[in-house]
Amino acid sequence: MRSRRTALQDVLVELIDEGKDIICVSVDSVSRFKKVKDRYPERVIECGICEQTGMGVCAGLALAGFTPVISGYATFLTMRAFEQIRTDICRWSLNVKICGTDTGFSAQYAGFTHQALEDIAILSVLDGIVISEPCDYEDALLLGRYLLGNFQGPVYLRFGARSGEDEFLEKHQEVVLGQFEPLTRQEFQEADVTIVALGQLVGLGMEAAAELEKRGYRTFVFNARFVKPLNPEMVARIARGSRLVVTLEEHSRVGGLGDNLLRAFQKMRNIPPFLKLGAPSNFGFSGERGFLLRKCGLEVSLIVERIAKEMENLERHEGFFKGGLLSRE
Amino acid sequence: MEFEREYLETFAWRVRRRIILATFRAGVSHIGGSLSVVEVLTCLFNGILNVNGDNLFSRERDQLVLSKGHAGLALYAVLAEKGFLSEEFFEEYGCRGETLLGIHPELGVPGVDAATGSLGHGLPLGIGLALAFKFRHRPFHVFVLAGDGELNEGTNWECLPLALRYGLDNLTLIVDRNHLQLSGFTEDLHPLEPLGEKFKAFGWSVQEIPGHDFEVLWKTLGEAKRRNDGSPMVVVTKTVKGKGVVELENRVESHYCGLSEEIVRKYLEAGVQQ
Repeated sequence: MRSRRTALQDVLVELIDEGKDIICVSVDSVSRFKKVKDRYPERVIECGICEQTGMGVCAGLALAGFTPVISGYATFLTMRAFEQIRTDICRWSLNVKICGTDTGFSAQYAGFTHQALEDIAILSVLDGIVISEPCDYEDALLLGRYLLGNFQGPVYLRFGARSGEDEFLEKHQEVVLGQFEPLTRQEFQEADVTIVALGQLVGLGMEAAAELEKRGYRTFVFNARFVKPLNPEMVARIARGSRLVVTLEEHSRVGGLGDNLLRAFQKMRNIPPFLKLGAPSNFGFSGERGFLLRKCGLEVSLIVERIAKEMENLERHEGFFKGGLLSRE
Repeated sequence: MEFEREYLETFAWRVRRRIILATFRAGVSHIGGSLSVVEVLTCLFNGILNVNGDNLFSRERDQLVLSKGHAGLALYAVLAEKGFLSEEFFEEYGCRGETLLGIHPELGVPGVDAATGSLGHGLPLGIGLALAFKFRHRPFHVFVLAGDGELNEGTNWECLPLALRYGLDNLTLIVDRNHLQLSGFTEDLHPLEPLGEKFKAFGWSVQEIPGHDFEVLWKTLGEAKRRNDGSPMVVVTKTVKGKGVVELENRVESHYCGLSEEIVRKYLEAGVQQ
């Protein structure tokens, strides 16, 4: 079964084969590096359940010129080791790659302690870090090759559960730093609704788009890929060409993709009508992922209704301006 | 380099003089913990570490992680005394504008191998560097200089099994055992003793030595660097906080304070007296 997490292993083996100076750092999370360990056992360092120490060891390895890749539960890596990420790694732009797994509700029955709904918010404040989430196996290969193999500097990559993931595309577009990947067509075109979906919610975004098209709304879907940085030209194009922008993420509505994109709109002083869809709280619940998503309104029918309602509101406003104020002139 | 007691003593006196003057110039500094590591740093930079004017920014040499980053002034004073920092640069300490020479060492200062200041970060960094040397089969040694109060931070203890497991005999942790931390005596606040026994229980080689005695320091640190027994080592140096300025010695206030003109004059006029 191919998942984004198997892509991480495949890409690491591939990069080490190519001669990249990669060292994998496990915090009792060696399952993330199984293929590396089978082929290059000396390339995996086990730090035990010590995220802070693991992150510090990564910083030391990076100072000496290696590319350390640390992987484990996103929630523990980003929260417990935040200070090491900030002070030892990001301040010095060290080439450390942080691969958080079990993001969003992926940890399911393990509950809020293990679910990561605020990891993006926490790391977004750090200058220079790249925050990214692939949407499927192939996407993870491309993002992995680029962010772990080529890009120099700190990176946070989000990965979901061990298995049971969809595959959306046989072939993805080339990765460009800070660029969303257009899914509806090769290039972004004007739309009534522009959906920017992050990682494991891209499938949901595509299904919702199909429904919205049926209702007569021209809908364009992006695979976000990046939360930070965001290419300003792309952001401007989206702001100009969308009647409504919708972000979709398995993360708290506070501080995630939605807020990062909103900030980018704000920076260029052009904020389009905007709908942020995500978890209403950073505290999740114990339960099956699909159930938890539905509880947050992250289900096709609920998303479609929400967007349709927003569009109706918008039309009422637009009608007021067009038919009312503007027609008087 | 051969052991020359007189040279080391003069060097250490000049370093103390710099610390005292810089503290007076800045108005205040972490002077107590800076004075307690003068002998250790003097030894390290005069024959133990293979650092010289040509390899200051290189990773192809021994590394020093000053985990007790608030003793940055002691490190800057040693680097200036070695001529690795220009006098103009050293005088930036405590200046009012923006400076690279803040209280805590930052990367970019010649001879500073790791940016430190947040306690408990140095040992993991040192382990990363030591592992990197092992991977590349480099013969270099990593010294991590930590405060005893700093050992309150749990990351230090997380590191002990890790360094043992990877047989890091190219790593030496030096603990500046001056028995004081910011707000009081270590044993009153967060007891550490029996410290040596604790490290031994984790499987580390342990040396507990007087921290202001050049002969013992020279021998112990030299042996620590030369060993290849497959186990990490800790050298607990028994020191006095504020060492060399009687008014500050063994006093809680010495952690972060200034000096009166009178005291400064007294020490400058006294010359080498050890």
